[in-house]
Amino acid sequence: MEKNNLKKPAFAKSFGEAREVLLGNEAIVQGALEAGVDFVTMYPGCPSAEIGDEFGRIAKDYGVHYEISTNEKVALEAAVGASFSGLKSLVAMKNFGLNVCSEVLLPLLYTGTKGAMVIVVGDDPNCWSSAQTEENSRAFSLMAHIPTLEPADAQECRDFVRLGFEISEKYKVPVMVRTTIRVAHQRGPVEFNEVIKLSSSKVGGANFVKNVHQYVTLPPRVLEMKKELLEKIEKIRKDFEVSKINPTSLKLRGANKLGIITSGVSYLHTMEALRNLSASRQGEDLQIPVLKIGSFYPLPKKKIAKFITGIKQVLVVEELDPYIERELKIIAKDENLKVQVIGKDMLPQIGELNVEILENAIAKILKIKIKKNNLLTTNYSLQAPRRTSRLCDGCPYWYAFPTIKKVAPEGTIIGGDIGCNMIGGLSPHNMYDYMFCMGSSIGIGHGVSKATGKNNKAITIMGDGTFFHSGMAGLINAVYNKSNPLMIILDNRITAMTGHQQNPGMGQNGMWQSAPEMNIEEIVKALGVKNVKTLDQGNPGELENVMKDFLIKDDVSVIICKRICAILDRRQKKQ
Amino acid sequence: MKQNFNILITGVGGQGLVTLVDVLTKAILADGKDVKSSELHGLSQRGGAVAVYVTMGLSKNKAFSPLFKKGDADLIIGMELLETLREIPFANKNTKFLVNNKFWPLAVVDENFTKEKILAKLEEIIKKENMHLVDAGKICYEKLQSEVLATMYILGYAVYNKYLDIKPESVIIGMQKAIPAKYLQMNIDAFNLAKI
Repeated sequence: MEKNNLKKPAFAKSFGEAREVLLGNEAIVQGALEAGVDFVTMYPGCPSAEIGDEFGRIAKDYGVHYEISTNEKVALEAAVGASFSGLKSLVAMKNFGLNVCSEVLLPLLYTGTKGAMVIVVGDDPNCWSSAQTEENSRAFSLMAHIPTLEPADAQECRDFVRLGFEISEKYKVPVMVRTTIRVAHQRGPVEFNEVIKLSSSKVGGANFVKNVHQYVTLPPRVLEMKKELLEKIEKIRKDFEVSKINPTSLKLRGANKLGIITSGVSYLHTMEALRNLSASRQGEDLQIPVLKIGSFYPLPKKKIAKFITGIKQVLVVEELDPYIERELKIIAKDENLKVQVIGKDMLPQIGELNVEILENAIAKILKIKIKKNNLLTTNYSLQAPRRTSRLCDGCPYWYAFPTIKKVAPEGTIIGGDIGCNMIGGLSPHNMYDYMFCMGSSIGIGHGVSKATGKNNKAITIMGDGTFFHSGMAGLINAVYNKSNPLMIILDNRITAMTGHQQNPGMGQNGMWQSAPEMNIEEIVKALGVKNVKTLDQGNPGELENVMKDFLIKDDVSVIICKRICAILDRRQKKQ
Repeated sequence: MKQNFNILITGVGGQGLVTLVDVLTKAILADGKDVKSSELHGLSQRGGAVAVYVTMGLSKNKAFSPLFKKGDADLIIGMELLETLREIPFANKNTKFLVNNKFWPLAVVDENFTKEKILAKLEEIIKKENMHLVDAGKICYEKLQSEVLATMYILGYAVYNKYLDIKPESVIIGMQKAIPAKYLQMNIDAFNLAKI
C-alpha cells in the first residue's frame, strides 16, 4: 500500500478514500498521523484505550514509536524526553491518568515543549466504564494552564488533534484534547487526507540540543517560566477569539431573548433538542443562537462577552462541574452585562446530559409546552434486574475469589483494586471492604493493618497490570514500615479489563514485539518480602493452604495467583 | 417531517455488538446518509448490558446527537431477551422489534426473570405486528457453526424485510470495510441467510 513516501490513511481500505465512518478514537489516531506524529505513549484506560490499540497495530507501518508505558506519569515523562529531543508526540490516557501524571504535567507547561505534543484525555460522565469518581479533567486545564480543546464528534476528534499539534508547534506548549465517552466512542463520518506523507522515521535519530535555560525548573528561573507561560496563554486566547472552533450558529441581532453556550457532545444534544422543539411547534424557528466552545482553555472571553451582550438569558450547557458557567458569570460582571446565567440551577451536575433533559430545560425557560414522549407503555411495572459486569466463563478469578472469601477469618478487611478484579466487589462475590484507585489496595491495606493490629487482618487484591502501574510503591511501604497485610496478586498474564493490552509481565511490548519479561515473584522478593508464593489457583487446595500459612505471619506476605485470562487462553489456542 | 431514523441495538457484552455497529454505520454512509452512533466499552462490557444507539439522517438531514431520547427508537434490535425488555422505555407504539430468541442468564438467578416470563412480558407489551422473534443465534449456529454471527443475520432480516431502509449492497460495503478479510465471507453468508 506504499507509493514512494505516501501511505493510505490508517482506516481507509485503499488509496483515494477520504471519507469514512470512524470511531472518535480512530479519528484521533488519523489526526495524529496526518500531523506527522513520531512518538506515541499511553496507559490503557476507558474511554481512550482504542487509541493505543490502533497504534499498536499500525505504528510500525508509519515509522512511529508506540509504547504502553508503566503508568501515565511515565508515559508523559517519555513524551517530554522525546519532545525535548525534537519529536512530535501524542500521549493518551483516561481521566484518572491525568491525576497520575499531573506531577509531570504542571512543570511541562512551565518549560514548554520543543517537538509538538498533544495529550488526549478521556472523561467518563456517568461512570459507564470507570469506577472511582466522575472526574472532570477540565479542572486540570485551569490548574496547569494547558490549552484544552473539546471535540464534539469524530470529525472534530481528527480536526482538533491536528489543530492541537499546530498550536503546540507555534507556542511550544503541550495541548490537551479532552473527550468524553460519548465522543471517544461515537461513530460518525470523518473527512480526512487522502494520503499520509511519510518521511523516514525520526525515532532513534533525533538530537537532544541542550537548553538548560528552558528545561531545568529551578528557582528563580521557574518564576520567569510561569510569566512566559501566562503570556503565551494570552496570545493563544487571542487566536481562539477569532478561531472557527468557537462558532456561533445564528447571526446575532441583539434582540434574542435566550442564547446557549455549550461545549463537547452537549453541543450535539443541544442542536438536536432545538430541532425537536421547533418541529413540535410546526417548524417555527425559535431563533436561539448557540455559541459552541471548542477551546475550553483559554476561553475566548471577548467572543463570549459579545455573544451575551444584549441577550436577557444565557443557558450554559456543559456536563459535570460548571466551569464555563463560572467563567461566564465573571465575564458578565466584568463587562457589566445584565444577563441571567442559567446553568447548574437547571441542569444536573451529576451524570450525562441528553436531548430530553435539554428539551425540557429550554422549554421551561421559554415557557413553551412540548409534546410528551410517545411511549409504548408508561406502565412499565416489570423493572428488569440490573445486569452487572461479571467474570467471563473460565476466568481464573473464579478459582480465587471463593477461596479467599472462605479462608479469610472473621474481621478480615479485604481491599480491591482497579481492573477485572473490581468485579469482586459485585454480586455474587461482594467481597470488598474498600476500593479506590490504581494500586491503592496495598497502600490502604498497610494503613488498616498498622491501625488495627491484631483486630483486623488485611487482605489486598490486585492484578498484574496494576502491580506494575503503581502497586510496588505501596508494597515497599508495607515492608519498610512493618505491617502485615496479605497481598494477593492475580496474575492473569495481560491487562484484560481495558481490552487486552500488553504489560511488563508478558514479555511483549505495545507493538507485540518481544520484550524483557518482568518476574513478579523476583520483584516482590527484591522488595524485601519474606513470605512469597507463586501458585496456580486452579490446583485444588493450594491457594487455601498457602493462605492459611501466610495469614498467621507477622510480616507482609504475597501470593501470586498465576493463571492465564480465559479469553486470552482461548485466543492463543485458536491461533 | 421526520428527520432521523433511530435504531437501538441491545444485548450483552461479547455478543458482537461493536462489530455490528461498525458495519451498520459504515453501511449507512455507503447508502448516502448521515449517521451518528454511541456505544460503550470496558467495565460495562464484561458480560454486562450493552446498548448501542444509531441515528440515521433521513433525506439528507444531519444527524446531530449520538443519543436519542426515550420513546424515539424506530427500530430495536434486541440480541438478548432481558436486555430488550430493559430498553422498552425507548420504544413507542410504532417501534419495530427484531429480537434474537436468546436468554443470557444473570450472574444471580432471579426467578421472576426466566426466559419464559421475559418472553411473555415482551409479547404482552409489544403489539404482535411489531414484534419479530427470530432464532438468529440458533440458525447461525446450525448453518454456519457460529452463534456470534447472529448479529449479521438480524441485520439481514432488517434490511431484506425493509424494516431498515438501506440497500443490501450498502451493507456489503460496510462489511468489507469493517470486517477482516478472513471472516468476511461468513459474515456475508449470515447476512444473506436472512434473505427471503
